[in-house]
Amino acid sequence: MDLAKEKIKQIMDVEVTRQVLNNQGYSAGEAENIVNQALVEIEEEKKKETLKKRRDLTGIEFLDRVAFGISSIQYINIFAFIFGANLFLIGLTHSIINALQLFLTFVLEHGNRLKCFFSSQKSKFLAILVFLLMAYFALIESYAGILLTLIFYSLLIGFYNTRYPKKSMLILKVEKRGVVLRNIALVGVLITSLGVYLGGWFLDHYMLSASLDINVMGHKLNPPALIFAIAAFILLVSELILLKYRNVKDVQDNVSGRLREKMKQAFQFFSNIKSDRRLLILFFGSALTFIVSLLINSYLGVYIYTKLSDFGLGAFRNVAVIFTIALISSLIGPWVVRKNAATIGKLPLLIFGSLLTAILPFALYLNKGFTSMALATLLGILGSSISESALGLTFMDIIRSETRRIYFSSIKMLLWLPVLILSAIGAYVAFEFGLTILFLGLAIIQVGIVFPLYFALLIMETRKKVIL
Amino acid sequence: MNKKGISPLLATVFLIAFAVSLAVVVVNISAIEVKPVDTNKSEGPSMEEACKGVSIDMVVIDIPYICYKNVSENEAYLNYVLKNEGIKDIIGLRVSVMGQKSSFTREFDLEEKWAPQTLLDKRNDGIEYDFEKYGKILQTIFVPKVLFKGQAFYCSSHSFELAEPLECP
Repeated sequence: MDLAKEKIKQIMDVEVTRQVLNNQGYSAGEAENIVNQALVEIEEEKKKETLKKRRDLTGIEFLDRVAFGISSIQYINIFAFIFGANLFLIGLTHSIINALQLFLTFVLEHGNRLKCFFSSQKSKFLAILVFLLMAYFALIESYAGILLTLIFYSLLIGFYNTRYPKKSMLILKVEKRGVVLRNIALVGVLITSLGVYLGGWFLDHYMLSASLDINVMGHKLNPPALIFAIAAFILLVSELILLKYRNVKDVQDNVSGRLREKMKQAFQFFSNIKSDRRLLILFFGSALTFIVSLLINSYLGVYIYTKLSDFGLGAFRNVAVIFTIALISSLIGPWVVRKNAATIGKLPLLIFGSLLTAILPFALYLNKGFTSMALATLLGILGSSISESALGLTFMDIIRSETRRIYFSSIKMLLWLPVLILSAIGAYVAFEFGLTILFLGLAIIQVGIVFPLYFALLIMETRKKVIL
Repeated sequence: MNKKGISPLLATVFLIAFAVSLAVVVVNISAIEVKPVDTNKSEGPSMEEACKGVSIDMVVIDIPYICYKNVSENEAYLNYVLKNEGIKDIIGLRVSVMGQKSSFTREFDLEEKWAPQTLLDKRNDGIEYDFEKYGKILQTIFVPKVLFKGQAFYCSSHSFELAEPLECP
């Protein structure tokens, strides 16, 4: 039997295995039986192997999302705020993170040295160390340390999130994935939401009580430090599972390796944009919406924490609920655009999305309470997700595929500096005039600049009788 | 297959009207606002509940036994003997001492639970006190710490205070 299994595995041919068995003195009937039994066993082994891989990958996804959920960036902002960071520093940190992410994405697309260094395993391991460092800074209540570490953390997670999904595909093919892994986009949002809520519950429960009366390294252990330590531990368990597959190498993407050339191409493209009014409108409209969303994300958690701590479920759980709503509504946008783009049109949907985006900062400015903010978050994030999807489709209609490729490759290089400067200005407004004024300003940008820009584009296209 | 979409301009006008009406709903929804947080429910038991039946008192051994014992010209120990007069175990203490020049507070957990109707004898194991730094002792406050439903509470409303303690015998 073992011989048959070994031969079938080695030569992958049942007929040859039968002959081998016949040569060894087995009758034709016996050989047939042995081969059939060996085939059944091989099939069972394969099934077991698939199940094991499925279980491991599901475990990794679950643990990762719970870890990132309980230590959500919105909570990190709140911790920094509680430990003394002002709004400018929080906003500036996020500006730097976003600008760096844009710049690095461009660099990574065209130069692969850095990308090869940060494999999914290595980036997760470094993220664990960064979490521990964050736990230490939370323990000594250093907001500067937390914000500085947040920059590294965001970049490492960026590396991990771009590399791990490709590696997991090599470990287990799509057709062998179970229901959970096949629908990980949706299930993942639910798991992350669970993590965020658990984190919120823990913080609401222990932030004000004296029950964590434990001294660590001469400092009293506080809930934020404990949250980071727990997240690091969960990620460590997930890393240990991933280590089983260290022989499966990360996918090496095709990169051009012509970074300088691509940078030149990006700036050249920007000077050419000026001659195409439609492209210019879409460029400015999308860039402004991106910066508005970025500033809202930077301050949403802190704002809810400060304004709604005495209402709803509790200070941190309110943030958890609103963050969950944001996560879920961001999934609905592409579906809405896909279903309606043909009948309603892409540009009308783009305009609709940009108007919906303005509802969130406007509702935050008016501060009408928890329900109002929750609904505004649903509509605002849905709007920004509709805008994003409709924008992609509009580009497909407006520009040729070659130009489109150059556009999407260049946009990151062109945007990182304006993102850094404009969001830093937004952070200064928040610091100097308060969050309500910033939110009012953001709503005005959406309604007063982005919306008219897109509407003007619609009029231009309607005159040309081109339906987008 | 000759299906035509509606005019994009008309669709946009409808969508704008829809977005504006949604915005109106959002900003007027405060009427069904959720109630304020029930602090007892979300933050666990209240201090009142946790500190019910907690009481400490001072023991008199010749003098009220919250007293200082000099070990050098400026250094002394604040020694004390207290009695748990309540019905709950006490797990720690917060001791605040106000001197003529400045004050300090020490928090510590007891090695063993301090059971009801028993003494906490710190005649030889008091708190270090620096007369040069803090000056003459004006006031001492002892706050008991208890564990209730898994949470620790300092029962500041059940503290014991003694002004101007004497020198230990």
